[in-house]
Amino acid sequence: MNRTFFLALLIFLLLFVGLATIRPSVVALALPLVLYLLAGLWRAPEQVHLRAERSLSAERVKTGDEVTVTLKVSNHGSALEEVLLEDQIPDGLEVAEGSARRLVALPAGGSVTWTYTLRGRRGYYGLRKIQATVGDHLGLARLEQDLPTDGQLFILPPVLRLRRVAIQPRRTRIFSGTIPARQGGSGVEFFDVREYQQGDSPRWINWRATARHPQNVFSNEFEQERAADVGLILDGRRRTNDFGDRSIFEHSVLATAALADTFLNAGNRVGLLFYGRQITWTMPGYGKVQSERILHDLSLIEPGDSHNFNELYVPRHLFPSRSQLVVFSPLISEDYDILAALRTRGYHLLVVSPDPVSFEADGMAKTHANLLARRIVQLQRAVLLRRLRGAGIHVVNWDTSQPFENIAKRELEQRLVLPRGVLR
Amino acid sequence: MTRILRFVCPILSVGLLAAGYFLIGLGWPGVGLLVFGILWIVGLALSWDWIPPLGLFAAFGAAALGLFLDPSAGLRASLPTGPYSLLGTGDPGRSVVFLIPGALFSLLAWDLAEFYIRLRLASPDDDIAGLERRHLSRLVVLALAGGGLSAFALTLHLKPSFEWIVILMFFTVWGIGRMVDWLLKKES
Repeated sequence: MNRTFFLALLIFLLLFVGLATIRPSVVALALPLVLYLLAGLWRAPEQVHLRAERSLSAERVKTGDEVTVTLKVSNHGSALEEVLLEDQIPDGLEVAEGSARRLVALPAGGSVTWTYTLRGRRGYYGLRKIQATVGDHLGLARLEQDLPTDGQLFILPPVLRLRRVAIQPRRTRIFSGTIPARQGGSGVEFFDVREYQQGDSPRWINWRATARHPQNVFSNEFEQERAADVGLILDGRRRTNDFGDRSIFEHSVLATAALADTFLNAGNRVGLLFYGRQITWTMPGYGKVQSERILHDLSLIEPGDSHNFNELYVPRHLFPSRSQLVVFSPLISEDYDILAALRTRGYHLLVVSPDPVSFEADGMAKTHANLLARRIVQLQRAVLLRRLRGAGIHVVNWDTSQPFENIAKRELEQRLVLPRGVLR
Repeated sequence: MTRILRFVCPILSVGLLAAGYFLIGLGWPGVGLLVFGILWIVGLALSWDWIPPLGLFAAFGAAALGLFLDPSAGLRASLPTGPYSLLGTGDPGRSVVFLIPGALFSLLAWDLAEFYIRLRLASPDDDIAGLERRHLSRLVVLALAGGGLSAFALTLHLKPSFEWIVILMFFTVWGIGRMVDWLLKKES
C-alpha cells in the first residue's frame, strides 16, 4: 500500500474515532501523523530536471571481458534531497565491480559521476536509460523518471583457435589457399607423376619412376591448394535447441565462431546463414573484416521459431554449387532429407552436431525410466547420424561435456576418408 | 545507526504502550502488546515487508483504544493547563503519558524501517552516514514537534459549539484529503 495513502487512512480513522467518541486525546494522537504528512508535503520534490551521460570503455568485447561504464547525472533544477539513480541493466549482463546504483543528495546545479564494470553473456545490449527516483527525505512523495542515455554493447562469442579444419570441396576459387583443389600444380601434398617438363625443379624428379622407364624422366606433381567458398549454416530453431529452460544453442554458436575464424585465417571466403525465427544472411567475404562481421552477427542472434518454415531451409542460391557447407545443428530426423538433397546437388557437407541427448540427459534425474528413454533416443540419433554418414556427409557428433577443441582436433583436422561407394 | 534504531523504536513503542495498559489495569492486553512486540522484532529481522505498517496501525490502534478505555481522570488536574480545552469534554487519563509516546515511537519505527530499505539500495561509495545523519536529525525534530503538539493540544481548554467542531473537522478532513491527493498526483 502506498505510504501516503496508508498514513492518511490512519489519520482519518483517528479523527473519526476521536470525533465519534468525543475524545480529545484520540484527536491529539493524530497530530504527529498530520505533522509527518505535512513535512513530507513541504519537502516533496517540485520539478525534476536531471540529465544523464554515459560512456563505455569499449562497445565490442569478447565474452568474459569487462567493460567500464561511466555515468554522470547532473541536476539542472532545484536541490533534490534524496535521489536514487539506477542504471537499467538488461538481462544477460551483470555488474562485475562497483554498483549500478547510487543514492545521493543533489544540490541545484550539482552532479554525480560514478563508474562500474559490466560483464555478460553473448548478445547485443542497448543501455538506453537510467532510472531516477526522486523523493523527500521521509519517502512519502516519490517521483520516478527515466533519463535517456546513449550506449550499446556487443558481447561477441568466444573464439577458439583451431589448428586447421580439413575440408575438400569439389570446387575451389582461383586464389591460392590451403584447400586441396584436386588439380596438379604447385603445392605440398603429392598428387601425381607426370613426364618431366622444362622448368621443373630437379628435386621434383621421381627417380624411382624414371628408373623403371629409362627413356623418360618423370617428376612429381603436387596438389594445388586454393581458397574455397565456405557457407556456414547455423541452426537456431527453438525446437531443436531448447530443452525446457536450457539451450544447447550457445554450443553451436561457439563452434560456428571457431570454424569461421579458422576458415577465414586459411584465406577462404566465408558466409554465414542463420536460420531461426528469420533467416539472417552475412554476405561472404575474406579476412579479418569478415571475421569481425561474422562475430558481430553472431552476437545478435537468438534462437526462435520461424512462422514460415517448419523444417530446416537452406536457400541454395546463396551458396555456389559444389562449395563447402558447414551446418551447425543438434539435428532432428526431419533434417535428413534436406541435408541429403544438398549432398546430391554436389555440396560438400560437414555437420557439427552438439549432442542434444547427452546435453538434456545431464539435467535429468537418473531414474530407470530416464535411462531407458535416453538409450532409445540415443539409438534414434545414432541411426540418423549413420544415415547421414552413409550419404557422404561428414558428421561430427559433439558431446558437449567435452571441450570443442578436443573434438575438433580429433575429428576435423584429419581429412575424412569416406567409405567405399559413397559419393565423393 | 538506523539498523539499531529500527529495532529500538518498536521495543520502546510496545514497552510504553504495554506500560500504559498496565497503568489502566488491563494486564492481558498489555501482555498481548508485548507478544506483538516480539513478532514485530522477528518480522523486522526476517525482513517481512508487511510488519512495519502493521506495527504502526496496531500501535496507534492500541493507543487510541487505551485512551478510550482509560477510566482514570486527572491528568489535566495534575498538569499546568492552559485556558482552553480542545473539544471541551473528556479529561485524558494518566496513561496518555505512555500511550502517545508509544504511538510516536511506532511512527519512528515505521519510518526507519522504510528508510533502512532505501539505504540498502545505496552503493558503498554513497555518503550513507550523511544521509542517515540528515534523516535522523529531521526525524527527531519531527518527533519532538509531534509530541509537543499533542501535549499542547491536550492542555488546551477550548469550548467551541458542536457546529464549530463539525466545521473544523470538515476542513481538517478536506485539507488532509487535498494534501494526499496532491502527493499521490505528484507520484504518478
